[in-house]
Amino acid sequence: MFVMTPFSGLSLLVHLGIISLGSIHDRVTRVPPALRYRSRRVNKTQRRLSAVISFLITFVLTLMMIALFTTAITASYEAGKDEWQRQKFGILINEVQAGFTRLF
Amino acid sequence: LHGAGTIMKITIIIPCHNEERSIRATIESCLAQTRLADEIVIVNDGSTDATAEILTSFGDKISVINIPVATGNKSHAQEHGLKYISGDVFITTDGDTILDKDFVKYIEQDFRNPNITAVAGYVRSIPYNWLTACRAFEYAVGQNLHKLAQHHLQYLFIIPGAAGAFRADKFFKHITFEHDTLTEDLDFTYRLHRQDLKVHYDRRVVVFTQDPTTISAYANQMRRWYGGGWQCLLKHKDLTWKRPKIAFEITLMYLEGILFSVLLFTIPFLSLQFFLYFLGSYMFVAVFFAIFAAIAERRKDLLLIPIPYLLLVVINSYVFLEQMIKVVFLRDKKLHWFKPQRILIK
Repeated sequence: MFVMTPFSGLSLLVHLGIISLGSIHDRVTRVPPALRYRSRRVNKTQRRLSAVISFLITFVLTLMMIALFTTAITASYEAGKDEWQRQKFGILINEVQAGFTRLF
Repeated sequence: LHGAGTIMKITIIIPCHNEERSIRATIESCLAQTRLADEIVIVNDGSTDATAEILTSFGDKISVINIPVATGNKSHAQEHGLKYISGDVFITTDGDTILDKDFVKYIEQDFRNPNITAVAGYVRSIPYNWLTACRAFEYAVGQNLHKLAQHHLQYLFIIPGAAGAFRADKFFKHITFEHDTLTEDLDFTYRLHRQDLKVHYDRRVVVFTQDPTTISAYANQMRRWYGGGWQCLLKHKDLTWKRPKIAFEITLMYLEGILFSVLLFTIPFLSLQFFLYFLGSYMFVAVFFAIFAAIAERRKDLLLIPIPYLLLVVINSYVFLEQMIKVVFLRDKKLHWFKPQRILIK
């Protein structure tokens, strides 16, 4: 069984939100547990609206994740500017550049 | 179709290969159901250990189908066995899995709803060591949060191979065995969604399964799961574009997986200090969900999981990226079967 991808907590938070909304919906509409999974008839407009909303949420989430990723990388680069790893990388880059200069 | 009051014939099908350490307990759990299954079919896939003798000892309580030479793949054995079943509903499980005593009873209740084509059950890990405890933590979080949310979205990502049930007529009409991925259960689930067939998630339908007990076995199993996950994603990519709900869920899971894994292996090279912050915040999340898992599974040992789980996070992230590179970019189509070392189930 495939459990889940490596997670950081973001998808868990989003899923917690979905569970809360789903549970509220089930309670408000008083759907008996046995019927909670019946197929709902939806018309074309509802289907389109659902598709647009899902697309927008996916788009915003994707942007959010990429923004978080970029922020984390940038922040860690800034934080590590003076650290030995950066110096080590700097030496490595200088060596590679020197090598290219000698070659060409 | 079966409504309330009609008789439903239920078959349990178990493919097995060299399962002498666990198959007896599996069959006994099938025979100890509060609602007995009408048929238990065991597919002995060329076992070379004492599995055949154990199966014979059950006499006519079970039907045994022998494949003389091992097919080496669970889905081949399952396909072969399904030719012999006569149930309206069939339950798929593994030779290392114990069914809860009410498993069949709840399956019958679920399939009284004629709209339901398949049911996904709830998997629990049999306690053994710290690795199985980590897996129990993953199961608790994955099934009580991720899967429950997917249930509300009406898009269940996977029906576990060890705890699934299918309406036979619809399965045979719409699903064919293609044997082209490492995770046949995930492939089935994608194809059920492709046909718009309803998949129900029932947390009362419980199985107890064996999980890897060594790091190498764990890593190999993750290779199969993640490799199969990427293979299925490529195979069904058109479905992802067509269905917004699927696109949403897949983006959430896979993009988070990629970004998190890349961060985990990049940040230490940029800043050690920032990496410690990163780990600290991850530990905070892990502790919160460990408390949740301990309560959900009623296991106090899960409270200690965040510490050893860090190691598994590194393995998971590495394997996830490795399989992405192999399957998506290098188009590796290996379908080697993986079988972990079994422990004796009493």
